[in-house]
Amino acid sequence: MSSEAATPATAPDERYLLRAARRGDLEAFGTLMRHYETTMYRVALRMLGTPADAEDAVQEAMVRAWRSLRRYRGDAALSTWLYRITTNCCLTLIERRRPTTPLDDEHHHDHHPERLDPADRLEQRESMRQLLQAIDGLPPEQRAVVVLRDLEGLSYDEVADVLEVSLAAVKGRLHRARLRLADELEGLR
Amino acid sequence: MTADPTEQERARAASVDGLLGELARQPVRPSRSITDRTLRSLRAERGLLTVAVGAGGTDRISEAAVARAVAREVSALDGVRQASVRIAGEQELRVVVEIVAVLDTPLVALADAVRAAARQAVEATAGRAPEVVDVHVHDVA
Repeated sequence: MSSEAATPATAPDERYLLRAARRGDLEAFGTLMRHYETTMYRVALRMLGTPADAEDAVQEAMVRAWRSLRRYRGDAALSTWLYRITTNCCLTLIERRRPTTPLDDEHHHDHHPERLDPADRLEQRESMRQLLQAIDGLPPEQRAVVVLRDLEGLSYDEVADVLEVSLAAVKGRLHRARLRLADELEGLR
Repeated sequence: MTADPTEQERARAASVDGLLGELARQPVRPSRSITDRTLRSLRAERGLLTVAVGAGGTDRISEAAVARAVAREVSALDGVRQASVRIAGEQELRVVVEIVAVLDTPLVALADAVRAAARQAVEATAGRAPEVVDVHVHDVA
């Protein structure tokens, strides 16, 4: 599955900005982060469930990125590296404080609300709520795979790279996660 | 890794594809700029060394405190008449030691001794070794 909002486009002058940021140019770093901010936030929101937690995780990820910029050698795409840092920050936050509040409606817009009649819209909103609840109930490692593969549209290889696990582990986790989601959603109907 | 999934399992797992796809297409944006917030916090931290981030909290020690401790250690060395120290580097811990040496002191050996003393003093005060210690001998007197 691939999503429309998957891997972000390469930032203009990314290499130049990276070099400047490595030399300590905070403004160059800011330009890079502005380009990836929404992607990082989207991952964090799906991992953590609440906007406040997601913002904290992204801020923490940006600070970590700034502090470890000198160690980033460019072996992986910058987006992959940032996905990795963001996911790790989320996993750390989940360990520290498990979220209990589902996403509020403000962050769950219908994709094509104009094409749906009110009853369908209500049904879709309810389905999304149930899905988010089910995702929130997944073990963190499975949740990360679902978010990166199914929601962000990364390839299996990219997910393995981000999570630093084998391809087989990614496929196994994703399969188990989807089965669990199917069970959860079936149980709610 | 478990055994290969059965056809039935595959079909069940695929049954959530549509909903996940719908969720993936929903627009999500932060309500305010997290980058701006982060940059503000990074700017505010300039002048502070983050030396430990642990479960119990974060320890930050001012660069001035570390520099003063290093200057005292370096000043106590034989062959050093005056010493001033500053902490530099945005992402690395770089210590710059500027000294006036005692006349007739072998300067290269003195610089090595200064570097070792500075490194030890930073580790003792900040709990973290500097990546770089630059020693500048400005004058002899």
